[in-house]
Amino acid sequence: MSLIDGPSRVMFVVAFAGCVAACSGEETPVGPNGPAEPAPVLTFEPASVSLGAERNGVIRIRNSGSGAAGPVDLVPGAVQLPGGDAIPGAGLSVAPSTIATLNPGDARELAISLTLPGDLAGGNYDVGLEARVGGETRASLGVAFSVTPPVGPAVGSVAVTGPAGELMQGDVVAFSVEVLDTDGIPVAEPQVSWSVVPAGAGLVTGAGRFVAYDAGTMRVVAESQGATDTVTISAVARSVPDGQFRTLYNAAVDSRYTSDHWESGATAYSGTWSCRGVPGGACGDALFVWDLSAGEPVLADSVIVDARVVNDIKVSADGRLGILTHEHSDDMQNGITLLDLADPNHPEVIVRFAAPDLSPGVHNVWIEGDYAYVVVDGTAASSGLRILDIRDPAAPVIVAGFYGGSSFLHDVYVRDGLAFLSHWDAGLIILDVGNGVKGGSPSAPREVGRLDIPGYWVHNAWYWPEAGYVFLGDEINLPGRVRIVDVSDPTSPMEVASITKSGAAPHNFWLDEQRGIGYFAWYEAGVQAFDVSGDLLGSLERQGRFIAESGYAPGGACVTASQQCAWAPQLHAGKLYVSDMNTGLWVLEAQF
Amino acid sequence: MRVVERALLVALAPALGVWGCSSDDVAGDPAGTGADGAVAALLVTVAVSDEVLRLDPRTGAVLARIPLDPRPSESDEPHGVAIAPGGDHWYATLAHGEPTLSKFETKGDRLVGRVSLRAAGAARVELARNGETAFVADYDRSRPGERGEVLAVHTRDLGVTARARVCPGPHHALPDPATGRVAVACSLGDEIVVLSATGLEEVVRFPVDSVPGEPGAPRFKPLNLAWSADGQRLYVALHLADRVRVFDPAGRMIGDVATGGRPAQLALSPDGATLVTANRADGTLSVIDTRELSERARVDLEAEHPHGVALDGDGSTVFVTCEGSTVRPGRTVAVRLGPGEPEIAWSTETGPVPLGVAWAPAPNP
Repeated sequence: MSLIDGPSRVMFVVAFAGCVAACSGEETPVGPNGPAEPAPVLTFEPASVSLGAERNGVIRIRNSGSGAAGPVDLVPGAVQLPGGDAIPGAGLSVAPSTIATLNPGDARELAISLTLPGDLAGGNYDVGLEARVGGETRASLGVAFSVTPPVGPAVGSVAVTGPAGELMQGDVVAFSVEVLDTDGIPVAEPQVSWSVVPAGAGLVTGAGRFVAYDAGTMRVVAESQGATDTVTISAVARSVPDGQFRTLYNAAVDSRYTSDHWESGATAYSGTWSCRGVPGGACGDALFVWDLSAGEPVLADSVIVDARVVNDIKVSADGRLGILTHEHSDDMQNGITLLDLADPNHPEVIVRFAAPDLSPGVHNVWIEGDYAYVVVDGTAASSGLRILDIRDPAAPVIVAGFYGGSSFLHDVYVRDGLAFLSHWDAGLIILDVGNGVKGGSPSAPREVGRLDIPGYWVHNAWYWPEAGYVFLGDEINLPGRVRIVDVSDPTSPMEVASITKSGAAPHNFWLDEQRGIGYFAWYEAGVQAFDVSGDLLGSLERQGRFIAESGYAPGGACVTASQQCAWAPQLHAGKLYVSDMNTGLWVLEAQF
Repeated sequence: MRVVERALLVALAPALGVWGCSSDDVAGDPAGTGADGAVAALLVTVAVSDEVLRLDPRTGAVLARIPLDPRPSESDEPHGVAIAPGGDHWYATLAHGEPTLSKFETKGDRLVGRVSLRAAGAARVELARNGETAFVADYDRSRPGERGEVLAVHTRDLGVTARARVCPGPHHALPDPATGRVAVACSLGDEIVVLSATGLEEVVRFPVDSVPGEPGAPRFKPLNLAWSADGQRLYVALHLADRVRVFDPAGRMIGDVATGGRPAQLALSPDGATLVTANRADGTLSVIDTRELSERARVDLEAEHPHGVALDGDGSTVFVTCEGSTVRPGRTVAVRLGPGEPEIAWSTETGPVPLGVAWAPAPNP
């Protein structure tokens, strides 16, 4: 790799207080009240990069301002066609991805590296890189590169076959292509570039998989060594269920922030989070139990534990056992509490299970069969996943553990013998805990595959085995993005699609797999329903798949007690239950 | 939850009742005004709300609430805090999630850096006398019998310059002001390890008792330390033994003094005459005469779970963080020391689980 030299310029500067529009690179700008506070000014050198056919390079970032900045997060954007279509499975890596601090006058070298899917069509692409401090973009860089199909034998003709005519936005179709040389003989392994005209009307992959973004007429073009063929597509607006959310009930929780919840039978259980600064406010030491038998949730009982965060509650499939998590306990033991739900509205504590392995705090839990999968806070090799044999719920036994090697585990989802670990910076990790693909079991989990997405902090996952997809969330980075990963081969997970929302990040999901509808919590933006049926490819929000969004409470930024701040949806007995940090538990009806 | 929620907590907390900040029982003007009227610094880390509070040491009024957590959606436990010798910067650790050391400019409490420590945990942070190096102990309860690390961080660029895998549960790594050597309290190993200032190489290792517990099962749980100014005395809080022991630099025991229940942090007055301990179990502060090695006063702090202590510049006021409980917020309490009985100067609600505390004089004009 060589250093790429070029001119320096300020791409984007967010001013600190006292540093107004004139703050464009001069040191210590002067305002009406005298010298402003020290302010960093970050620039990439060069301000744009053309890698051509290269896939690696070295750039610099410099602080030419008067104040230190840090940490500086280097956040890559989506690899895209010039028309703006994100390329699933393509990414830009930066090393280091974070600079602890950048003092005035200091500069750091950054290594950049592109990862591209093997079937990426020939053409010109670009990807952005932002330097962010405290979530604010301080500098940005454009990286352009090209993919040039290798020169092959002379081509006489290209013929595209596949569906033509009318289809719906969001439907994924596959085209195939036959390439003949000038003698009319098929070319083995031809190099074909695909494109959509007009650009941005749809997305076509290097393998000829196509999805229409816009409604209207468009052309899919295959080109090889100058020969082309075109298929004309007429895309009609996607037909999605029509209707809105109707708000039925609110089980208000004012004294504490509400966390996760679970519905089982005619009972709902909701956890509590941190400490709430309101008159009569309290910490997250409670699990609330709601009787749903009359439709409207009625507080039936509560379980108070030694914790300041009851982040998660799960109930076994038979409804007889519940497990809640402890963090920030007074006795510093943390762990979990197992609940006998023989009387669902009045849980009885079976045992609080604390062990050194769990003492840093348990953040999430999953119950699958005779085992509980417990997420232990921390970045030690001894933190991460703990698997507990709970056949005797009064005496759980830790039978196995797993740590992903870096970062920390945030959540776990188990289904069909596979455990999907949301491992933050380390990405998605898939374990065999009985599926058989790698010979794993709950007492001897085996890693099957992992997907590290640069700049994406995997917070939660939902596995949909029938479709072969995992839906991932990142609750921090904006714009918010749900990523959809093809795990039909779990040894080689591959991102194929996404849902992007500016200004809000996703939290937890629930999928109505029968109907192909996903319910996504977006904090201040409430809950949105999307059509996730069929094959998924590209940017779903551009495919007419949006169905409805909730408006059960005023919007805003989650910052006042009455504002909408959705944590998690759960579809249960025909209704959508939503826990909201500010306002408690809501019951919605999806009228579509 | 995430950033916006942090804004909610920060915005609402000062104004609101039970978990809001009120300063009660103000009595006097301890510890705090510089020649130009600038206020001395008193910083408190609050574990559950993921923030650092700047208090007025004279009154306990909350002057600023500074979010610390890069992952504000989770409760990651700000733990240790230290102020640079010149007062221009301060540093704080984040214990869980991804353990980090953050660097702030004192002016405006502006975050200017944060380094991921690549460690299992991060408890207290202490600075070398010249402020160029920060020492962080990698305390992690989940590894009771395993050796944890001590890290040295260059404060200018936040680069980790050395790390040593020392002992089970290192909670406090404190440089000796005389020699720069770093003593480490091995809380889950019942021993003290002294490391070289550069390279963190082991100089001496000694148990805190002739019959220590097994690694991971301590009998004494040495949590925190204080050095005398000449480096000849090392005071060790033995959490499970309800006492402080005093050792010389070679590890020979000099003396022993009983304290209140479960002493956590301790601090030594600048003249070396007074040692104070925050006693987590019984809500008290022990005031110890170091010449006699006797407890001369025990102060009921009227708050639960005392944890951190810091003394002001002349040793006349001690500031104690009290964690509170799951049903009551924590407090920070100022106790005026003097020739007579110690008295509480003020007591302020400081959110859920305040832990670390640091005091520094008003910066020079």
